[in-house]
Parts: sequence; structure tokens; C-alpha cells
Amino acid sequence: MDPTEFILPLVGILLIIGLVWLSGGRRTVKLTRESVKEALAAEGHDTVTVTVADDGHTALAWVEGQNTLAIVRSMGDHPAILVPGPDDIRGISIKGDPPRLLVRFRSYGQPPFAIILNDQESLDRWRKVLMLYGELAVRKDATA
Amino acid sequence: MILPDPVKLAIPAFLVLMIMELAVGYFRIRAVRYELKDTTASLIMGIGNLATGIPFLFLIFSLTAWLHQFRLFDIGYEWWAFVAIFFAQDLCYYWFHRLSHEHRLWWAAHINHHSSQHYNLSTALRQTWTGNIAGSFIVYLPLPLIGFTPQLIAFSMGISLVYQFWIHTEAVGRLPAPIEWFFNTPSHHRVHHATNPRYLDRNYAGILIIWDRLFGTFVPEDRAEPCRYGIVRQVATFNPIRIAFHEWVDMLRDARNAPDFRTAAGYLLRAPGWRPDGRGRTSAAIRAEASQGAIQDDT
Repeated sequence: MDPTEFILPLVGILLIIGLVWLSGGRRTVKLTRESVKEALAAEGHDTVTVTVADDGHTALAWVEGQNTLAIVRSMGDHPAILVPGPDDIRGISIKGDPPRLLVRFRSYGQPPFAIILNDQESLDRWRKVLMLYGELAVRKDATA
Repeated sequence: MILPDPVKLAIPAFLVLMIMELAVGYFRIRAVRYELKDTTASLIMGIGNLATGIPFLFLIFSLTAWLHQFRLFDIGYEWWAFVAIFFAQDLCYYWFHRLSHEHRLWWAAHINHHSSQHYNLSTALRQTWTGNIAGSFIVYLPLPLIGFTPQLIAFSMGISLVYQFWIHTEAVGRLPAPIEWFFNTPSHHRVHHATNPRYLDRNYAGILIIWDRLFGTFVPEDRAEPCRYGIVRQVATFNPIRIAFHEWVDMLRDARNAPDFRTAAGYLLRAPGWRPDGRGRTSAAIRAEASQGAIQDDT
């Protein structure tokens, strides 16, 4: 096998990656309440409550009618939406101050999801919802 | 007879076409979007596909050659043999592809190709690492038994792979009607990669769309309903390892936790999304739910 056969594809791959980078391919979508609602509506979900992380990378939403949670993450220039069933969630915990909500999933395709809930109001609002998905491991110092 | 490797010959064209597509997006001639992490993941998946395929090449080629000794007909390299293998291979591809969507064991190997939320030429290279392990090549085994030589089969599969590269693009709109009627086109294949309920699990064609028309799986692209790309439960990662293996991990976990053999087999062999309690979100269930919603909206 001629080793030079590998050179063209490798150079080509580096060239493409370089061109994508140079042409603005590093953009990351910043989530907002509106963009989250819009993305969920495009998939047929009406949302009532949306909390977006300060950095705009993650968001939580409550889907009306289906009474379910929606998890939204910024995946490059697209929002990636997951509407999990209770079976899909392996564990939910809230730790730290400000409280950091961490959701772990059963699916290997879903890395853990984290969002900082900045205020007590958000925390209280979401706690009721998240209880539906199982036991919440809550540290007292985070909720006091 | 030694036939050329169409994929190897096409690599420079792949690169030129991708650069052209990037330019089309950059100059906003069409709404083409490339994203760095997504493209990098797709290209790594492409390299991984080549690397994981090497150990199997010899095995599959040997199996094909062994089966060829039991052939029904002696088909050599006459011109008509190339025409016959073109249609025969494309029909096999249709069924390989359809089964890859309809049964979870094969879907686990194929899902990564659909895991990008983008639809551009780099998506074409987001290929499987586990297709050979899943045994999806068995669909092609009737070809040597009919009498097509292993070299001819390999050549036709290469042609099919090269053809399917250029249809992964939003840079090409609708083509003239006779082409759209007979061939798989960017428009038809956009539908195949879409997660909109009405587009789910449709347009399995490789080169010829006539198989979908024949077997009732054809849906045309509707400009009123733009395609949303990816999979029903979007993979929330660009990590190639997770992209390649996530459905395998989930499927084997479901099977391992099943209460009995029948349920475990169901998790492996029934439709993706299937659940023993009947509440699974299979493509059929999602389509039915969406149609019901549409009917209620109308009333």
C-alpha cells in the first residue's frame, strides 16, 4: 500500500477544517427564552416556563400539554432539544451556592446537563417539576 | 479483471465539492451552514469508518468469493453485467438501508450517519464504525450467488458510495422532474435525513429513487415544511466515540435489563424506540401521533 495515498485525504481534511474555521464555523448559538421557545415550537412543543443559564449554553423548559421537561443545550450553532421521559433520567441533584442543577441521563448519547439556577425563585419553581423525575439529592446549604 | 476503486478516484472531487459548498454558504448564495465541531466530528467518523473497515475487507471479500463458487449463472464482465449489477446492487442497498432504519440492531450501526443537525457534504462522511460488526453486509450476499463476481460487486458498491456523496447538500434545490422521478437527489435525501414526523424513515434509496416509489416509502420534499435534521432524540455531543457507540450502549443496556428473553430480543430486533409496554416512540408511533394532531387541528 502506497503511504502517499493517505496524504491527500489527510491534507484535504485539514484544509476543510481550516476553511470552516476561517469562514466563521466556530459560532455558538446563545440560547434565549425566545429562541428556546421557538426551537421547541418547531418540534411541536408549547412551553410555559423557560429558564436559560446566564452563559446561554443551557436551558430548561416545561412543556405544556405533555407535562414534561425539555432540556435544551447549545450544540454549536443549533439548539439540541431533549424531552426526556422519567425513565430517561438517571439522577438529578442540586448542589452548591448558587445552586447548580445537574441532570444525568441513562443514554450514552446524552452527557450530563448542568445549569446554575441563580435565585431561590427559580430553584423553587423547578424543584416541583424535577421531583416528578425522582428523588432529588439536595444539600441543605443550597436550599436554606 | 481489475476494476478501479471509485472511492479512491473520487477523493479529490469530494474535497473540491466541499470547498465549493463552503463557498456557496460563505457568499450566501444558498443557506449552507458548516459548523466547526460538527464538521470535525463528521470527518473523524469518516476516517474511523475507513480504519474499522480494513480488518473486515478481507473477510467480507473472502466470504463473497467463497459464495461465488455456488453461483447460479456465470456473469463475467460484459457490458450488460455492469448494467445488471447497477440495478441489483442498488436494490440490495435499498433493503440494507431500510432494514438499517427498521431494526434497532442495524440502526445502532447506522444512527451515527444521521446524528448531525447539519446537512452538508461533510455529513456524507459521517459513516458507521460498526456496520460490519452488525452484519449489514448480508443483504448483499445474494449477489455472488446470482453470479456477479466479487470485483464487480465491490466496484458497484464504490460507485453507489461516490454517488451518495453529492446528494448530502442544501446547495442544490430541485432538479428537473425526470431526474427527480428516477434518481435519488439532494431533495429526496434531505427528506431522508429529516426528523419531521412526515419525513421520518422515508426515501431509503441509494442511486435510484424508483425503489421507494415501488415499495411505498417515497415522500417528496415539501417547501412548506422545511427539513429539521438529525435524529428524534438529538445526540448532545460532538464526541466521536459517543456518536459511534451511544445506541449500542443503550440497546445492550435495555436488553440486559429486560425481564425475559423475548423482551430482550425485542430491544435488539424490533424498531428503534420500541418498548414492551407499547408506549415506545417508534417512527410509526410518532407519525401516527402527528397525523392525529393534524386531524384534531382541522376539526
